[in-house]
Amino acid sequence: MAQFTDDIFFASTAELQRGIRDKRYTSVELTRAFCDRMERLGPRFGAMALSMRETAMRQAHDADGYFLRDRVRSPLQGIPFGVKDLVAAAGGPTTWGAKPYAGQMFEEDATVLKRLLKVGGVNIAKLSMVELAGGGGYRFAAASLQGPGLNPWDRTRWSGGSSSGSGAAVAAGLVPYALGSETSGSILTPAAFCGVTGLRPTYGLAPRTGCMALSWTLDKIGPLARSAEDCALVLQAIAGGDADDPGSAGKRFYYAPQFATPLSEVRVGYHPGDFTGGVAEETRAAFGQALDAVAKLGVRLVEVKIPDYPYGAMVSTIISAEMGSIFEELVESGKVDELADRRQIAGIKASQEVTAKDYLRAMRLRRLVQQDFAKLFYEQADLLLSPSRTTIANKISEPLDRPLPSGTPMIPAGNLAGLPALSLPCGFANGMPVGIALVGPAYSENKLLAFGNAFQKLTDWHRKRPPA
Amino acid sequence: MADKMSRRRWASLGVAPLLAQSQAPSQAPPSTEDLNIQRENLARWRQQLKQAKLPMAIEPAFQFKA
Repeated sequence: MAQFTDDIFFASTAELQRGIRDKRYTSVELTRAFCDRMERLGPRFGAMALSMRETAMRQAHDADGYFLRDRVRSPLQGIPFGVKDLVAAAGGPTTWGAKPYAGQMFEEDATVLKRLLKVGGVNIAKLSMVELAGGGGYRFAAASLQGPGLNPWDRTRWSGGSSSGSGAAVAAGLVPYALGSETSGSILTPAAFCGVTGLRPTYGLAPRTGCMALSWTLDKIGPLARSAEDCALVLQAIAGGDADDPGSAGKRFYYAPQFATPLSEVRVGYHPGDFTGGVAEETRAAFGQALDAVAKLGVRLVEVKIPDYPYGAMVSTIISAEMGSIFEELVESGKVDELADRRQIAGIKASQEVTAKDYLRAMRLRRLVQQDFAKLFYEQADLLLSPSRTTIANKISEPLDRPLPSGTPMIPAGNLAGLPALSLPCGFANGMPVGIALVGPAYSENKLLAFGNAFQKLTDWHRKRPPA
Repeated sequence: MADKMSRRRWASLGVAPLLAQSQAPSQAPPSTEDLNIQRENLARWRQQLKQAKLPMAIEPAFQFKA
């Protein structure tokens, strides 16, 4: 019987798989250890919606069979993971973090989950989330059937949303990686608040079939993991065309670090004010250090200013209009009143009143945003750099609608243009992690990941562990 | 989407606390104040969208495929 120290729970997928291939432990033993830890600590961080131990053990047993025959389908074979509770998984409820859907069952796994299982992954848990991915505009972190996501770095603080459990679970070493989703900020925020690496893929790259829809034109599924390298391996497994997803781009993703452009040739655009006045005072020293680290990579730092649009109003109008249609029945049935957050309930009700004119205006402005970003990437910069979030994680008790320092609004801007983004841990402020985000042109994930790899070879912030 | 869960199935999944929570009486519905705040948000966004310059020829950023 293998004995595991805490180090194993913070190892990369490559290190974990090496242990299986070297016969130091089996996937079954590894999975049992992660399941034990998930069931013991998951509730402590409000991270676990449902343990999938029973099916996970079968998946691990199958993976061991492949290893026994020297067949390795992918670098993720035999490695445990978790998925946000909006990813359908047969065999247990998929709650979407919301009481009206607490007993919801699906007969089929979501396509992203099928793809991870097909390459030998082991799904050990459904992970908690903000109810209905927070589209109604929630006021408190407790807006979830599973309660607030608690930050492993300080349990009085939030793990971020709406992929709260995915961020907390990776940070606390409950899973090596997790799937989250982003409509506008739901991968980057928990990644930054919890000190893990998060990758928001280009819109349409990863299929959404079997995942809860909040906004058809904005929703993306992506990984949160220990490193850029692990995010790359997960994206490679889940990306690809899907005839059942009308938003699918029909493209695959092949992780190819060997073909990365030399960093000395990469122009990284940034706005200096974003790293000083645009962020909370307590975070400025950390962001200053992060900028120094970026400069040491040898990239060409260039000052840029992103096009001026009402990004917040645009993304909020689009989410409201699409969510209003998606959850029309929930509102009409009166079950919307069962949600946990009153502001969220009100937001979903108010979304029924968004006019077609406003939605179309936002969608037409969105076309201009796309065009302007394409031009910016062609003429001025290959990647854009900004703080992932302008503050550290807020206290659980604090309302989320308080005024925040307002730097460049890269989260709504990048999501409106459908662009990929990578959040990297870049330091600490008051003992809490902060992150920087890189945004690139559509389908430039390899470029983002090459930057991420280089940054994580130079720094060790992504290797820091929360207090025991 | 399939059927409702039986109590036995819930118990076997070890999600009793979740079930209890799902059966707890729901909180008070949102006040008129919350709804007004959200309606004011919609109105504020509308004003912000109107202020942005938008050439007549621009089509919305979605495509219909025949």
